[in-house]
Amino acid sequence: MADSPAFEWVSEELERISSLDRLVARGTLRLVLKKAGLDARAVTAKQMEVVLRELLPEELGSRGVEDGKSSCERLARRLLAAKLTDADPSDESPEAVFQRLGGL
Amino acid sequence: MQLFGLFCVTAYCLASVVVGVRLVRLARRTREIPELMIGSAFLSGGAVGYPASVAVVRMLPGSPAAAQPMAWAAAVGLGAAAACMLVAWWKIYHPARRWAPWAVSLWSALLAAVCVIQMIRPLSEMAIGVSPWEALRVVAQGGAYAAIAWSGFRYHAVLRRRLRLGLADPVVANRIWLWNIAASAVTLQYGYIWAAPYLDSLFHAVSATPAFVGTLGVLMAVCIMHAFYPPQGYLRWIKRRAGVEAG
Repeated sequence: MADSPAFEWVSEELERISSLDRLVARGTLRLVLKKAGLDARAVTAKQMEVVLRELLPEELGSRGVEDGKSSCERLARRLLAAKLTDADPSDESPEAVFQRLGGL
Repeated sequence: MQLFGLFCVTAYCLASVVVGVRLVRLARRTREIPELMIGSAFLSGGAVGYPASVAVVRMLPGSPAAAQPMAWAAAVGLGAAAACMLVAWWKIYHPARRWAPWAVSLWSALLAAVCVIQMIRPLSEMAIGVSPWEALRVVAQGGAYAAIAWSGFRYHAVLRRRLRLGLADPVVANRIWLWNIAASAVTLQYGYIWAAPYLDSLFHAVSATPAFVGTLGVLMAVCIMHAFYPPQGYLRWIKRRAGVEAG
């Protein structure tokens, strides 16, 4: 299963705006997604926006990227404006199943 | 102790029927497999298999002939519930894994074999306590609940990380946690029933079986009722606690 459009978009932009190479940019992003309990294959733009604002600045700071907070803020705004389609939702998440089970 | 045991069985059976019927009705609307499987598991296991297995133990000393149909009902009910649980495990936690349908098919075949063995073996073997087939039954049936609880706890750990960022619904996360507790309780019941004859030299494990299994039955009833019919006060507490944790 391929990575989600939101992951692809942010990792390419991160590589472009920072001094990180492709491998490190994608690895850093995967790391923060794991910390957030998210998966690169299924992460949505909305979830990625929260990760960009809440977790990525600190991670970039630890990798010596200057001005990480404002870069992430700009990325988050542009990500939402890009109106990407989310990953194929054909495989329902356990969370969605249990959400439905509560609708008795 | 008799009254307590009766209370426990009744509580779990009632909760199973209430939740099972509502989930099956939900499945009729949604045409989705997880709710159909979980609902069917409650009905066949909690409403048929579990009370029938309790009845067998009670009836066996006095009227073994009358206990035989109950033993068959227990074998079929508990086996079918475990098979439903396996399909739910596959569809909820591993829907895209290629190995999952194979694993569920093989495991279900084992459950069917266990069911046949239970139906043809002499009922008097149950009175002996230690049976070579009991371990197989515990692994096959109890293992199905252990599998869904294990996957559920792993998924819940992921959801807790999302909760801290406000990326998950605290009520749904709590529903999964309660479901995991209930499935773990069934696993413990199976484990205890199998281990009790071996533990009897340490304490009165066999005579304590109704109390232990019954207490877990009440725990399961409380968990599934709170998971699927949470009181408003409980929901408010869950949301308030999630807000505090998220900061």
